[in-house]
Amino acid sequence: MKNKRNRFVWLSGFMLLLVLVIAGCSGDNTGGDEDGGDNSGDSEGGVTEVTLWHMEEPPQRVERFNQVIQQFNEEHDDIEVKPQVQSWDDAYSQFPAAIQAGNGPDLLFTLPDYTTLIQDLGVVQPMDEIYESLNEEHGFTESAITPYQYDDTTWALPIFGMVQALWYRADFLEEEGLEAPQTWEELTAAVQALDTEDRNGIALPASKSLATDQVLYTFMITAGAKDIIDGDNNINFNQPATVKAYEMYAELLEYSPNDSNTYTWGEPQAQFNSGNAAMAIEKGQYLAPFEEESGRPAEDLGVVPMPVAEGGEEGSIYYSNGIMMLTEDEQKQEAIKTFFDYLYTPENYAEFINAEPGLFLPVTESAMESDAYWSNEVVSQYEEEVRTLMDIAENGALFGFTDGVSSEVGQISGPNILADTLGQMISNGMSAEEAVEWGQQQMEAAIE
Amino acid sequence: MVAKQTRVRKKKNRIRKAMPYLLVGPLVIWILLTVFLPLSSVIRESFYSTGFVGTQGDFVGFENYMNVFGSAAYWGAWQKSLLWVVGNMVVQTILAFSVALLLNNNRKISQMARTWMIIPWVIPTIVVAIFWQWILNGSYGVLNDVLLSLNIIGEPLNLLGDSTWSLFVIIFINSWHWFPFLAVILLAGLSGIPKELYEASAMDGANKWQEFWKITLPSLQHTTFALGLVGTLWMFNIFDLIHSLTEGGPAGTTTTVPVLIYQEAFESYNLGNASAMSVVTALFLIMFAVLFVRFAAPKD
Repeated sequence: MKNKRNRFVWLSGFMLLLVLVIAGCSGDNTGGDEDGGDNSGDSEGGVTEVTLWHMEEPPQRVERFNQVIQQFNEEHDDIEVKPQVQSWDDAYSQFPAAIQAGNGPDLLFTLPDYTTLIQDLGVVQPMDEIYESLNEEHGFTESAITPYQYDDTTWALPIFGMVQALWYRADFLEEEGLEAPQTWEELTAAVQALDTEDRNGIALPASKSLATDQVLYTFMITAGAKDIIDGDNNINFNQPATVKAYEMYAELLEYSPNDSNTYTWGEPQAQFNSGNAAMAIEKGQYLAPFEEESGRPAEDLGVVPMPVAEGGEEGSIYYSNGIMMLTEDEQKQEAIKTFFDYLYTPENYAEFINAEPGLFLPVTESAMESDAYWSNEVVSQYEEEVRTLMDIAENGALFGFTDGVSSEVGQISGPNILADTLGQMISNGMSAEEAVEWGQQQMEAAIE
Repeated sequence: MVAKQTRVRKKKNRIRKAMPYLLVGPLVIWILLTVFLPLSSVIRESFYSTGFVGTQGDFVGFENYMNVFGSAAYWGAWQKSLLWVVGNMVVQTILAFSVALLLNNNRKISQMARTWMIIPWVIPTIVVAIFWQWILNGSYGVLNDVLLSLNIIGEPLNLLGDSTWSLFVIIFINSWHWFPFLAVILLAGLSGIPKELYEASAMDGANKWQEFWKITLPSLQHTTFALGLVGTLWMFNIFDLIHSLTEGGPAGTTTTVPVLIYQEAFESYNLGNASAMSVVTALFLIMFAVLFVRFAAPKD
């Protein structure tokens, strides 16, 4: 009996010791080298390797990106850029740990708010020199580069832009004798007129998602409520113009399919292309598949800037995807500069961004003027629509980047508080005023 | 010579005594590494103000725990989790018992059905989520198509997006996915009940209902106890199906505790709070397990 007790005590002591050792060794979550994305010189046989992570998963994007990078590698014996496809979900949950552990990339695709989050890790490298040189040669558009420039530093280079607009079926509008709406009143009237037993006037996303956040924000811009949070992280969400935007959105949802609160990006487009919805508010991804998916000629697809509310302003959500540099290795930085010189050359750049013609808009003036960009089959077919999108992009805005750069905007966009606020109206029965007040409280709590 | 033999015998004895520890040791170390390493990390983070995964927060003592205990969202999620667990247990128990009793015979069709029955359980969760989304889709779903064509409904139902029905709908889907597992276990338990008991009760004039309550159920008490304990904890911790079907929506009506913890960590970038929520939740679950074992364990 005593022997058994001794053995139990010994075993318990051993296990306790082991747990303590494990807990002691577990350390903090910021381990790894200080280099961030750079884990070695990676120079084998005089070849400098540069890893690039992007989160553009659709096969045609992967294929086109690989193609351009492969061409670069073939033309540069001393540099090898290695693209790796990742997912946006992992970008938030997995990348930071990987980066801290020294397993991150040298170049990482980003978004303006994601850049502010990754900056907290202290691994994002200034790109001013590369920016100056490229800007002189190609001229970055202001709306594309601004969200990446703060603290007197350029933290990422924009690679392509995306902007929202109002898409409509021109044939449906013609049947009803309507013109494309320019104001909210005209939009409401058009949606009501186009809503029939077999067709919805419009298809809008209303789930708790980034897709809903973005369309809602376009309504907020045109209502005059684009400044949600300023550079000092003061929240200014609860204002009459925001309430007006939410009321309008909820009103339009009456004419959207009844399962709109499960919609993200794909569903409104599917409803639009199948003829079940006459209008939708989204980015340029509507161009390329329209003819094939709708069975209608290209002329039946129309696009105009987002209609504006009385007292509001022109504009819609616009943001550019960018590329951050995480490596501190000078040799790699030099290789990256060479890679960017190649990538932003109009011919190569056009090939790169036309992985999604119409959706990925150029962010350099040289590309906007280049034949290489406009000669793409889809872009040339929908030239008028693409030029409309480019014009809209000039008035584009992104929440968190309209009144200074908010370092906490990721805390608002991550949990989709804009969309969640709408959810309080359509699922929990709050009025627009109550919901917006609720949203303000959520935002304040999120950035605390 | 004798001394040498004694030494050899002692050595063999030592090896014999050490052998169980040597065999079990690696497994114990592996379990400690895979359980206690993450656990210690979560406990540690619960005392820090860590936001984004990978960043370093400041030590904040019990502040995260105070936040959790004062969080309406956390206790709201507990309400939904309790409803989720109870709903699942009730629906699955009814389905599993019904099927197990129905198939507890040697008829050929029952033998075939035992194999086919497990199909919902074998299907990967993500596939279950996708095809139920298709069935229930508010615009193109098969269910709406059938109900509309039969004039049972006037306009399509949006069951997964309905704040009143969504939780019940996903309880049904999850129960459909899991009940075969319970049914298989119950069938195994049923096959172990001596037939003589039923024959004797029939001689005494017992009807089927009395047989079930007086013989079948008591004979399965060890099985139902194990299923009650493991099943409750299992159901409570289900995250994948809920997240795939509704992501906790609409407007948080299906946000159970695991979904909330995920959202807190990876969408609100509040790892410290999420860790404190995890620790508090784990403690509640351990308390439940201890009480369940203490009060619900079979007496014999």
